[in-house]
Amino acid sequence: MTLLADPDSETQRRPPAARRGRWVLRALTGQRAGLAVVVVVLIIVFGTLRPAFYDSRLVVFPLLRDIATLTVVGLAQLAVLSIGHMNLAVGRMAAFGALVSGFSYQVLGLNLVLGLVLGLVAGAAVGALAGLIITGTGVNSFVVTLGLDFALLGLVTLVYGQFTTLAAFTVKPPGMEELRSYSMADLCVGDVCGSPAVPQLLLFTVVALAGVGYLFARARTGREMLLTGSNATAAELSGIPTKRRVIGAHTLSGLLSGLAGFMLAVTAGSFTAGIGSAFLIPSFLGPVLGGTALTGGAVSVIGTFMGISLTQVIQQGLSMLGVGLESLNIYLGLILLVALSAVRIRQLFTRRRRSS
Amino acid sequence: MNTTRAVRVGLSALGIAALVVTAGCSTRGATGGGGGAPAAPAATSAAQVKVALVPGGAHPYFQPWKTAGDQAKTDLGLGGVTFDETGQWDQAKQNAALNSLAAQGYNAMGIFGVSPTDINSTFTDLKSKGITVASLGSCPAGDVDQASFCLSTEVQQAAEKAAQAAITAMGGQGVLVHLTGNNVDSNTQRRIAGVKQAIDATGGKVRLLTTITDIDTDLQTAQKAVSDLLSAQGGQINGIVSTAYNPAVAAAAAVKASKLPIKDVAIDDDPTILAGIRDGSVSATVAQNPAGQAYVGTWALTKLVTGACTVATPGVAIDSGSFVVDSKNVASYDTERQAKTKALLEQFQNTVLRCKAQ
Amino acid sequence: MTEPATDTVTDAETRQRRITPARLRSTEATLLAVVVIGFAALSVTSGGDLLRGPAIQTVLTYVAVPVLIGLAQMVVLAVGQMNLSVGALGGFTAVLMGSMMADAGWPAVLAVLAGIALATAFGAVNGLLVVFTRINGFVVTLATMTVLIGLQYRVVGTRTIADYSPGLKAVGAASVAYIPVILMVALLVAAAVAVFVRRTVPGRWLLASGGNPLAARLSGISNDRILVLAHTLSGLIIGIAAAVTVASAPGVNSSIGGDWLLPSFAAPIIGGVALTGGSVAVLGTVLAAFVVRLVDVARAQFSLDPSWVSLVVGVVVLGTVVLTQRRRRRG
Repeated sequence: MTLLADPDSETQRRPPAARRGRWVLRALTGQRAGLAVVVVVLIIVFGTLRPAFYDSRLVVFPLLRDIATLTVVGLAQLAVLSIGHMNLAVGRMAAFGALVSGFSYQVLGLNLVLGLVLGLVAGAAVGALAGLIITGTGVNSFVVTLGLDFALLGLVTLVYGQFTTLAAFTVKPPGMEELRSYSMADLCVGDVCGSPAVPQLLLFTVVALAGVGYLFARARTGREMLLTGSNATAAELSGIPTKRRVIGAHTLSGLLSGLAGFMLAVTAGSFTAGIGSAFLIPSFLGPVLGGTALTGGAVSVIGTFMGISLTQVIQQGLSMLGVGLESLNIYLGLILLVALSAVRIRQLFTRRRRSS
Repeated sequence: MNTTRAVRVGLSALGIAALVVTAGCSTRGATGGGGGAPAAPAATSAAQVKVALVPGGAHPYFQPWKTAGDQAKTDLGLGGVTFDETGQWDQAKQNAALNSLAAQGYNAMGIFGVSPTDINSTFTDLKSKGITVASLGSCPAGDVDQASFCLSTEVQQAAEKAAQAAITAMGGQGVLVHLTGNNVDSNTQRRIAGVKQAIDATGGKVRLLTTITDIDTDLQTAQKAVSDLLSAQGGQINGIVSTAYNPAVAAAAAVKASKLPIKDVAIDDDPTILAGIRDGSVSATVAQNPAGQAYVGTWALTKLVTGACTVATPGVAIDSGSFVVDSKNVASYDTERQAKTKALLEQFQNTVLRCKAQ
Repeated sequence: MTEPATDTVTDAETRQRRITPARLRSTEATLLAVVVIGFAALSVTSGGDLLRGPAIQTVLTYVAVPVLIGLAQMVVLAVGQMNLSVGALGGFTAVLMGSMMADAGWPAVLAVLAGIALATAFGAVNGLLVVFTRINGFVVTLATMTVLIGLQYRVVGTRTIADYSPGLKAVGAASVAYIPVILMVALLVAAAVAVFVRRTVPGRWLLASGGNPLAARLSGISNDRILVLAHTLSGLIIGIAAAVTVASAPGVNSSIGGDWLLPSFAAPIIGGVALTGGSVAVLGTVLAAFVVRLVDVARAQFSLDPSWVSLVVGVVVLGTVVLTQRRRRRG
């Protein structure tokens, strides 16, 4: 879905934002199609070189599980990118959410769902705190979330040190093991079951994608957030409660971070303080590769899913090819640069075609 | 315009549905809940065994695994031995690497789990795919080990030995400092416990001044922390024990430069540390037995995969040995270590594994 | 329909001209006060030990690299960009220099110069990529950072290279009246950057382009060239930081540079540099590096838990910026 402030209603007056919007609209569409092509081509290439790449249980299932978690991470960053902000504390908010969930399982003895809800609430609370500080002091989101990252690091470490000897909550509530390893093949209607390659964790991601997609495509709140990101002054003057939208965006970011932390804990097996330490880079790469603007005002929810898929397929493919550590990061970085350049090349073609 | 967008949304949804469908449907009973049949038929000869040695990340400690694994491959006539360090100290990345290796046909794995609290889940996963796993170099947290066996220097014990070596070098009394790595890592917590244990055993004669954690990320951070420590409190410190790599290197250089009479003890036998022992800046180090872990681990895994042996007590932990190395035995400790490796092989053959008569 | 562009230009210029000198002066004054008071307090609590020559030398030694990497990030922030490859580039250059000396036997001078040249070239590559892909430097330097981390491991593996040029190491450890030579190098670089930005034409173009790209373009400045210049300059400063590292660290391995990223941002931000571009604060960056150093000294003196230190650093970063913001609002 390409999600922008609706250009149609502004056709009459054609202010600069909408004009730019239409161009961005077209570019975004083209970009996502190109991205899908790249992902499919890579899958075919890797599959041809290593047929084991298509193994549903050994490769596709874990791959989709990782994509599921990282897509939610990407959506967490997308939520604040929509208003032109950044959330550098995505990883630590995830750790904090996981901490609260783990705490509720180990110390409070709650069930799976209740612990998840508490984790989401915790993440949302921290996100709201960030939003409040940003709107209250007018300080750049980069700096606020950077400071919050440090503070949360200290807090999470202290809490784990206080309540555990192993720096982790290891109690698994009933249902966690199943959630980790069940695929759609365990969901059956009559005699037909789902695919063994699709993990049940992906359902969380689908719900998140649908929710965030609806927010930015249909809901008034979402459109106001995008307008705030496009031009905060204009939005304010148009009567949009920008401060509330900013706080809302950061709260959503925190909520999704908490969800991602929970999903990672389920995948890994325990609730540790290290959760989220590898989230920062994918949180930006996914949305950016998918077409979300770093400056705000334009987001692509499906694009985030595809951007994450691209990075994970590349990593998995390189791993299947047996690329060792001496070359892995070099190839990874180079492929990313090519992918980023390809976006630009595509834009150049689009522009040339329209102008000629 | 709205219809175009609706069309686009519809196409995207269709695309996702296609993705899900092409991933394959199945019928009830084709796969059991949450697992399934082993991926490959059990190997019957050594030539069909492919062993993967998977460290937690790139670290000098694991380098001997490479040569030991190759040696085992030649000695046993294995189908393949590989060394995969792409985990980069992230459990999710290590899991992805392990799944890749499984898909490439590796049916035995010796793993140093990144996260001791998460690695049992990984072991369970791999076992359900028909892979024989062993935990090397570090045992999972808790009482249960889902791997076939754990062959390692108990992390806490190694740290305790190092602290004891430092206390001995200090003359049995004084002030000790502990330098270590990531505070929120279970292995670090075990090391801290080990050092505390050694100090408690002195009955108050030795005092722990401080434990400086999180200085293993970066050599310069370690250097700065040690310099600041010596500058602020160097006068009252009698001994330093480093249970992580970068702090050990930094402490050796700093103590040497400061010319203070501090006894400095490290762990592992990286060339830099051994050079320190030779020139006196490091009093002693506690060398572990990574080569032994890899060789004996590979040997045992082969026996298990071919069905020649089974584990007497699944999940048992075996100590691979640790050796205090100081200037007196720096040239000869390796011989002692190789003898231990041979002893380990015998221990496995006689006690740990139950083997069918050949 | 009136073009809002010109109004924005005049407003921005006037705003900057009116605010910048006063705002910077007050930030710098605050930081100087924090440094002096902090150092005095720590000297008292150490019972005077901190005032001894060797202790001061230790404090000053580890300010050199933070100052340099803070400056490297600052020149890129000045054009409204971010350079995430600061640590990876520094680490790669450092191990390359070490490897050239220890493995290939090159003399120290040659290795250092080659390393600095290579780092400058990589900086230029960063800039060119940003210009070509038209994507924010944040993401581009993230990709180059990944490549450089891979290259760093490729060069040095898991070993620590420590066996090289005693002469270079002597320079790294040398000091004049307890002021380390490497700190003098860092301060020289800071002075050079300050002169470049304020007195030379390209330097002023840098500020203009960062402050108001539209106005700069209308004045005939090529924003693309300035962007490349900023990244190249960043690479050059990182090369110098890598040389300082090779000279002063116990050795170089693949962990070098792993901890550079956050300090490289903290120093300019605390020093008063705007993230949106258009301003530099050389003195502020240097003083901020000293402030962060004092936190380390306090941690060592009181054996503080690193978790509490994290909390404190976070609060300091937030507090300083909030104060700066308040002052800016008041006028």
